[in-house]
Amino acid sequence: MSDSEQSDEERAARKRKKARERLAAFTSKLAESVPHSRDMGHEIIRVEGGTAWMRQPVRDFTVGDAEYNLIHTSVQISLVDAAFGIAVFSALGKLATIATLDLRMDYLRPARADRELIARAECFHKTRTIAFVRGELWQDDESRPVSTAQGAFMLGSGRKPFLPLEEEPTA
Amino acid sequence: MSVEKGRDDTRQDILDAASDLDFDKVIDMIPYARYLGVEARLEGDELQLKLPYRETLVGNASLPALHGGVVAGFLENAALARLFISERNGRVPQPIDFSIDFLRSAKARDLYATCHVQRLGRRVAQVQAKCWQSDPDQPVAVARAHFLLKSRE
Repeated sequence: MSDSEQSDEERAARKRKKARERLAAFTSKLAESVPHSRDMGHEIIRVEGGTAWMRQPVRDFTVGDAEYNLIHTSVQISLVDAAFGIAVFSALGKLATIATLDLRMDYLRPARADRELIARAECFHKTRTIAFVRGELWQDDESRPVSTAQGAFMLGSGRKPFLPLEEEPTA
Repeated sequence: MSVEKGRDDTRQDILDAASDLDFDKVIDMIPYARYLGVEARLEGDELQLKLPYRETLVGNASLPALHGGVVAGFLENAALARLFISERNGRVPQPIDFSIDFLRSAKARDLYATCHVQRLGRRVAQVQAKCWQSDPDQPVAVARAHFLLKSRE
């Protein structure tokens, strides 16, 4: 192997490593990069091989039905939408320019507002331009999801990627 | 806060407020709609909804753009508010499913929405909603939702 080939390879490896580090920095500081997630209290539990687990802690304002103390279905959308983005980044191995094309929710059973909500999002297929994701939300029992979700994302939409705020390009 | 009001009266209060066309009161009794800051008013027969911009609704801070979950939540609440008004004989809409198509990114500005009840059946209603920022003909997103209509005993 020639020196120049080796340095190309090294450069590519360094680039991939840097992309992974930027992604890790983003996920560890989600709250700083995504104001709405900070406000909602979204927490990333785990990110692994195109799958993301996230948590919506108990908050007074997440209630949709005060009579039965149920979490608003829109709160479930917000959590799973956030998790979908992280799952796509994880599948790509980097922060990228992505745009949500569509999102669909099926509400299987009521979710209680006095329990935390967990979302698992999985990027199960991607092409050069599109990523397909599906997810489930549950409370106490993972085998009894409160809702399921499915979505499609466009990759490389030409917009600025998500960046941790302190890493804004200086242009 | 309405959570503390107890189990018997909140839904009926919302139905009563809706039948009085008191939208502020309807939204006030749905904590997450109040959190989002949804505003509603009736223009003729049409319910017009507004989501005033604020920084905590932003998803992508480097664009900046509203969070996809905020846009979706606004449209879902819009559809729900619309049904509470269509449904004056005391049935409570419960979400079955929700589907949204994002057409362009929502900028850091106010968002507006209108809804249309496509079908108001004996048990199920279907509502379509769209939202925009500067031009109603350039929607940010369109959505549809099914709701189960449950009679109060």
